[in-house]
Amino acid sequence: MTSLHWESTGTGDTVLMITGLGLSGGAWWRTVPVLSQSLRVITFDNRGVGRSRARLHSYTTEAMADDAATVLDAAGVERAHVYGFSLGGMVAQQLALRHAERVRSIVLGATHAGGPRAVRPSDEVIAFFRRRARLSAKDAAQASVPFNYGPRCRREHRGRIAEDIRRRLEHPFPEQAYRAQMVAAALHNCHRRLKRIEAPTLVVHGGEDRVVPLANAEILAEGIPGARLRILEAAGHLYPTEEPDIDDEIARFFLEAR
Amino acid sequence: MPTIPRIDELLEAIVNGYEDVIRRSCELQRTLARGVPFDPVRSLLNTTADLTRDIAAVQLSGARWLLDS
Repeated sequence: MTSLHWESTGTGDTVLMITGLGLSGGAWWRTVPVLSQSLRVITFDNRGVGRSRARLHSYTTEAMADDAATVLDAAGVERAHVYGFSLGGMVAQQLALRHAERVRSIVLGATHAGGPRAVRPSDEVIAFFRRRARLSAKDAAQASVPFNYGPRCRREHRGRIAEDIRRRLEHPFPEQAYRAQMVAAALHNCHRRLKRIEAPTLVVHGGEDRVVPLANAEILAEGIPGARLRILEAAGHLYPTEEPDIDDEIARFFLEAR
Repeated sequence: MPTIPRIDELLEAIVNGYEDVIRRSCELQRTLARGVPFDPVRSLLNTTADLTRDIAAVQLSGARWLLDS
């Protein structure tokens, strides 16, 4: 039996938030209070993560996109703005392609289009993410800090990083779900179909992102007709922690894209 | 004079056509599942629809990877 846990906050046009590798919907804790001032915000736990349960894990971003559409069905939402982060951004691309009629606009955060043109992270980063599944949740969260956050954030905002980790550890995820999501990310390939995405799109990326190099954001912005690119020069992969003001810009983008 | 499609455009059209066939096949299986009032047949139809989608997704990803290379 598969059950997807979702939560709704605020009123207005709906934004569906799709989170990244191994993260529960609770990982949006910084962003939800900002967006929900003017929008209805739906967060959910991907299959097998947090409070969602699954007999079979999702091994493709296509399957994860269909789960996201199922959440919209359950929430009674015909069309929504979509904000996907990292792996969630890959799922958001699939949602915009597979269920175009459900997507008003998209924000693609710290993500890539996949395929052979995607710019891979360094071998050190890849080795870490392979090793991470074998670490305890606490050790993995600590060990991922140099990869997830830019140097400025690690220097000036240690408190924010500690709070992120505390929240993340509230919903640890099984190794099998993590591996399934790793497979989904590896198989993801929307590059040739980016031109088919019709929804207004904003691509947001940290200039110091080590997990998904910045060149991937440029590929997305060039491939999706009319897409805008917003680069946060000093931010790493988890830019919402490093540059929380970006949430106001994203809220404005959604409100203007009605 | 009629234009001859380039080979990669032709291959892309074939891949896209296969994707459409898979999508319709999945929709058909899910429609059938909704019409079946009892388990385990309903669950089985939904599971086969999921498997059809996921196996095809891997094939399509690989095919598009080759086209992009």
